[in-house]
Amino acid sequence: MSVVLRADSIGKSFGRRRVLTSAYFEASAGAVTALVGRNGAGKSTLLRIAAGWIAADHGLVELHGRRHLRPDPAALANDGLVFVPIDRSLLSPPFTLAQHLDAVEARFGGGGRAAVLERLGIAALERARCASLSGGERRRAELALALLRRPSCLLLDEPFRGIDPRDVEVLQAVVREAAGAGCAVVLTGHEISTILAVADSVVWLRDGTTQALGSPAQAAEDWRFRRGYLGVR
Amino acid sequence: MSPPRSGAPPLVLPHFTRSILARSLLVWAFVRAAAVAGTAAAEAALRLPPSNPLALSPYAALLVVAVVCAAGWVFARRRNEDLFLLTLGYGRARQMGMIAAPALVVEAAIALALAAS
Repeated sequence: MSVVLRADSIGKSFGRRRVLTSAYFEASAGAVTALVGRNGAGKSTLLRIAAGWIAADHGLVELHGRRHLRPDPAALANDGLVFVPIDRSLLSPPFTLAQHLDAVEARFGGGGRAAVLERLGIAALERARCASLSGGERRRAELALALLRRPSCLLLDEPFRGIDPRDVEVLQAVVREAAGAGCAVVLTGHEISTILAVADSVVWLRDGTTQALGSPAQAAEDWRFRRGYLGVR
Repeated sequence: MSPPRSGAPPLVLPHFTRSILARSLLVWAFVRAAAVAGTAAAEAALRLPPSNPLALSPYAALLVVAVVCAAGWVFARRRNEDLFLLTLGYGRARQMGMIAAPALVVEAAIALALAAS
C-alpha cells in the first residue's frame, strides 16, 4: 500500500505545555489508521497539524510525496485531503445541506450524491437547514460532504463520539468503504472496540510521541498498551 | 479517489459567495454610517464648518475596510463558513479578499466620484 500522508517528527507546545515532542504517523491508501491515546495526549492536535490547520513547532507533513514544512490547509485540501474536526463543524448553520453539497459538486465535480446520502441515511435531510440537524445527523452530513469530495486522504477526529449504536454501524461501514475505494483514512477516538473493529493499524500516542502497534490484534496483545491505555491488568 | 489539484480554484459557490459579499456590504454600510456620524459629531463639537459627509481621508477609508475585514472574519468564523471554504480549498487570504472586496470597491468608487466632482 502506498503512503498518502506522512507526519514526521511533529512537535507542538501550547505555552509551557508540551503536547507533542516527536510524533510520527503515516496513512496508506486503502487502509484505516487509528490514532489512540489518553485525553490530552495530542491526537486532535496531531490531526490538525497534519491537515495544516495549526502550525507545528517542528516537523513536516508529506502528502502525495510533496513535503510541507508549513502546510497550507487550502493546498492540502486541493490535493485531496479532507479533515472533519470534532470541536467545530464543517457545516454553516444558516445554509441547507443541499447548498453545501452543491458547493462541493461545483468545486470538485459531482457524482454519487444520492447514493452517499442514502448510504448515510440522511437523504431526507437534504433540504434541512444545518442548524436544525442533531449531533449524529451533523456528523453524518459532514461525512457526506467529505465522501462527495472523493478524498484521497480523510482525517476524522472522534467520528464515533456521541453517535447512537445504529449510526455507529453505518459510519463504520462507510469508513471501510472509503478505504476500500482507495482512500487513506485516519481516525481518532476513545470508543476502542468500535475503532479497533474498523482499523487496519493502530498508532498509540503517549508522552508526546507515537508508537506504531501494528494491527488491532497486535495492539490488543501489547501489554504496555493494555496497561497504559486500556487499563487492563 | 480524486487526483491532486493545484492552482487557485475558481469561485463557483453562489450561495456562499453571495452571502459573504452581501454581509460585507452591509457591514461596510454600517461602519461608513458610523464614521459619517462620528465625523459630523466631532465637527459640531469643534464648531467646524460641515464637510462633505462622503469624504474620508485615505487612511480613514482604509480603516473602514480594515474594520469590515475584521467584522466579516468574525461573522465567517461564527457561521463556520471559514472551515467549509477551507475544506473546499479556498485559503484564508482568499476568504479575506472576498470579505474586503466589496468595501474596497465601494470606497474606491466614492473616492473617484469625489475626485471627479
